[in-house]
Amino acid sequence: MSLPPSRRRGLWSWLTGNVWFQTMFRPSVHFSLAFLTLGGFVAGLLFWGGFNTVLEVANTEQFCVSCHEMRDNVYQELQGTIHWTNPSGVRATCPDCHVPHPWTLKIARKMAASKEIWGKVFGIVDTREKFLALRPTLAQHEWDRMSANKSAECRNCHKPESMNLRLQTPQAASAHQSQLLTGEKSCIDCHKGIAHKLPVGEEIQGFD
Amino acid sequence: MMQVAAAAPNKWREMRAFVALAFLVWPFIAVAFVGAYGFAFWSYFMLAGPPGPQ
Ligand code: HEC
Ligand code: HEC
Ligand code: HEC
Ligand code: HEC
Repeated sequence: MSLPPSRRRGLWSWLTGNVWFQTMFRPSVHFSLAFLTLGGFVAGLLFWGGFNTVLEVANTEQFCVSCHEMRDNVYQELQGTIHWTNPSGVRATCPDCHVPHPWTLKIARKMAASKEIWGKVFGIVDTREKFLALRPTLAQHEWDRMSANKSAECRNCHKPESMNLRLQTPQAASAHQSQLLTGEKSCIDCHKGIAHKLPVGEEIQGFD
Repeated sequence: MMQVAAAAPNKWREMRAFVALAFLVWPFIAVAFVGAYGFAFWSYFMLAGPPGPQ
C-alpha cells in the first residue's frame, strides 16, 4: 500500500502515501459526477448562508455591546443623542456609523477588528479610566477614516442633495450651502461628537 | 523507485473523504481566503491611509 517507513522522505511523500489523500485526489469509483456535484452544490449553499449569517450577526449592535468596553462607554453615551430617539423613529446602530457597506471594505474592517480582540484580551481599555485615556487616539482613527471617505457612513442615511435647506435653521442652511454642497467639507468636519462624548479637551466645532 | 500501489477503492472511505472535502476542507480554505483578502486590504490601508469615498 505504501513505502516502508525507511523509504518515506519528507512531508510530501508522507502525504501522497496517505490513504485519505489518495482517495481525495483520485476519481471517484463509487459516486457519480451528478451525485458529487449535487453534494458540492448543497455544501456551497450551506456555506454561503452560514457565512453571511455570521457576517450579519457580527454587524449588529448586540454583538458590539457584548463587550463591556463598548457597552459601558460609547453605548451609554449614544443613549440620549438624536440617533437614539428622534421624531422620525430611525435608530442608527453602531455598524451604521462604523462599518462600511462595500463588501471589500466591510471584510477589511472585520479583519481590522482583530485589533479589538487583541485589545479585549489584553484589557487595553477594560476600565473607564483606561478608555478615557485612549479615547483621543480611538476618536482620531474614526475621524481620519470618515474624513478620508467623506463621511460615507453618515451619507448612507443623510443625503446632502436630499436636504431641504429651507426646513433647516438658518445657521445650518448657510453652513451646508456654503461648505457641504460645494464638496469642500463632509459631515464629520463639522459634526464631531454627535454620538459619543468628545475626548476631553476637544473643542466642539459647529454643533454638539 | 517502485510505484506506490493505490489503496483499494472503498465506498465508505470515498464517502468520508467527500464529506470532509465538501463540508470541512473547502469551507476552511474559503474562510482563510476571505480572511487573507481582508487582511491584505487592512495592511494596505495602514500604509496608504484609509480609503476614499466609494
Ligand atoms: C471583543 C470585544 C469587542 C467587540 C465585540 C467590539 N469591540 Fe470595538 N473595541 C474593543 C476594544 C477593546 C477596542 C479598543 C482597542 C483598540 O481598538 O485598539 C475597540 C475599539 C473600537 C473602535 C475604535 C477603533 C479604532 O480604529 O481605534 C471602534 C470604532 C469600535 N471599537 C467599534 C465597534 C463596533 C462598531 C463593534 C460591533 C460591530 C465593536 N466595536 C465590537 C472591543 C470590542
Ligand atoms: C441609520 C441612519 C443614520 C446614520 C448612519 C447617521 N444618521 Fe444622523 N440622523 C439620523 C436620523 C434619523 C436623525 C434624526 C432626524 C429627525 O428625525 O430629525 C439624524 C439626525 C442627525 C443630526 C441632527 C441633530 C439634531 O439635533 O437635529 C445630525 C447633525 C446628524 N444626524 C449627523 C450625522 C453624522 C455626522 C453621521 C455620521 C457619523 C450620521 N448622522 C449618521 C440617521 C442617521
Ligand atoms: C461646514 C460645516 C458643516 C458640514 C460640512 C455639515 N454640517 Fe450639518 N450643520 C452645520 C451647522 C453649523 C449646523 C447648525 C447647528 C445648530 O443649529 O446648532 C448643522 C446642522 C445640521 C443638522 C440639523 C439641521 C436643523 O436645521 O436642525 C443636520 C441634520 C445636519 N447638520 C446634518 C449634516 C450632515 C448629514 C452632513 C454631511 C452630509 C453635514 N450636516 C455637514 C454645519 C455643517
Ligand atoms: C451616528 C453615528 C454613530 C453611531 C450610531 C455610533 N457611533 Fe461611534 N463614533 C461616531 C463618530 C463620529 C466617532 C468619532 C469620535 C466623535 O466624533 O465622537 C465615533 C467614535 C467611536 C469610538 C472611538 C472612541 C470615541 O469615543 O471617540 C468607539 C469605540 C465607537 N465610536 C464605538 C461605537 C459603538 C460601540 C457604537 C454603538 C453602541 C457606536 N459607536 C455608535 C459615530 C457613531
